[in-house]
Amino acid sequence: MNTLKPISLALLFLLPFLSRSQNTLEPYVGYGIDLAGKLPLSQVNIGLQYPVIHKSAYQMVIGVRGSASPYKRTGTDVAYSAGPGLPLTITTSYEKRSYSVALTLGNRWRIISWADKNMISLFVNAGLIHYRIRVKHDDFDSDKYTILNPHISFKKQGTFLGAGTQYRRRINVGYLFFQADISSPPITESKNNRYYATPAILAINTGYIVEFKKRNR
Amino acid sequence: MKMIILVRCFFVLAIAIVFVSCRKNHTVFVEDNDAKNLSVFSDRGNNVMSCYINGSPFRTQDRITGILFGRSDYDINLRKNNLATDNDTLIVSWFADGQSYEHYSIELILSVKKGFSYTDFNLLEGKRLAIDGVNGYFVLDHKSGEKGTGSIYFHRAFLISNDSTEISRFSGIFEAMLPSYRITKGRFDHTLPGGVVFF
Repeated sequence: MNTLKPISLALLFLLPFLSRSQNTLEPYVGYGIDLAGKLPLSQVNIGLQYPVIHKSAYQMVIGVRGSASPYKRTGTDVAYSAGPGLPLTITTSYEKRSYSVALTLGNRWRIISWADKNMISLFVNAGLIHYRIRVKHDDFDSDKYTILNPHISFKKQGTFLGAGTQYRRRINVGYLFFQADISSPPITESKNNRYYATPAILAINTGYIVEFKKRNR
Repeated sequence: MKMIILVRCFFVLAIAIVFVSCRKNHTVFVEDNDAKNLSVFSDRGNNVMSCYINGSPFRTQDRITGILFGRSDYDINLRKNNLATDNDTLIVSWFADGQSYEHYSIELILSVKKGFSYTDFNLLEGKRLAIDGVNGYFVLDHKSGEKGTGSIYFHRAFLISNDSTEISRFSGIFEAMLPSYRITKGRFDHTLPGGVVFF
């Protein structure tokens, strides 16, 4: 709930801008990898961007992005028993999946445009992210055995900063775009970070800019 | 003039309070998904022991060291009793904060050879012992009526002198049966600086 409060406040703050009904929506899909390399993470992204302020070469953009690992990571943990009559160790397999949801507020500047069809922009953004790693172990006798340094399910919320570039090209109606961005690891308290490093995601996304209302220039 | 003295006294007092209140927490508690309210079994120096006592969770107090006059709290101590002629006794004590739980300590009393040393302690690493009441016993809250048997596995048992760059570590799992209590799913993971080892 505490995480939702600043989000609600931010949306409230943005309402006057939203009511001016800018004219584009930018849905996208893509792929991301962890540049920090501490966490074997790759993810597919789906998101939506919406410019709330639109000047000639500047846009303020809000966005929402969901990400999930496309496949399970698997491995084994070792469990020990203090019981003298039992084997000292057994191994148990685990499956690990990761998910995240982020809200962003960004500033985007047009850098170059040519032939009235192509444009390259740079953007910086800040946001709130909630990410989760879900670990499921195979059944084992947890009354008699205890896993050493187990891979554990994990939830974090935090703020992050990001930056990237977008290339867009006009097609018949709207624009096709490609964008690459990098996000900092979330700023969170570090209690569990010795178990999981927080990822720094490089994302490459492609999408389509839908124009739903003509602008008067 | 009096005002200047008062201001100086205030600053001295404020600095003293800051130093007295400087304390550092060395405990990391990461909850085990398979055992609610217990820490995971680890060997990373988390400085915590936790277990169930008759099904209720119990954990040691945080290890907190104070700077200068700041109070220190310890989760564990290891000491040796060498009063007997034919053997020594290794005493491992785990402490709760005394307010959060019904119980405030669990101890493992282990009979060891005469002249028990760090080297002998290190030989415990990787060993699983049945605590049968003869070679040792568990005791709750220092109550002589609450001695029990059980078993313990020492995953890490490494003690080295304080001037070494290596870190002394102690981790493992245990279970015990006492007259009125059953201790289950015990797991511990500690570093062993000089402040907790007394032999």
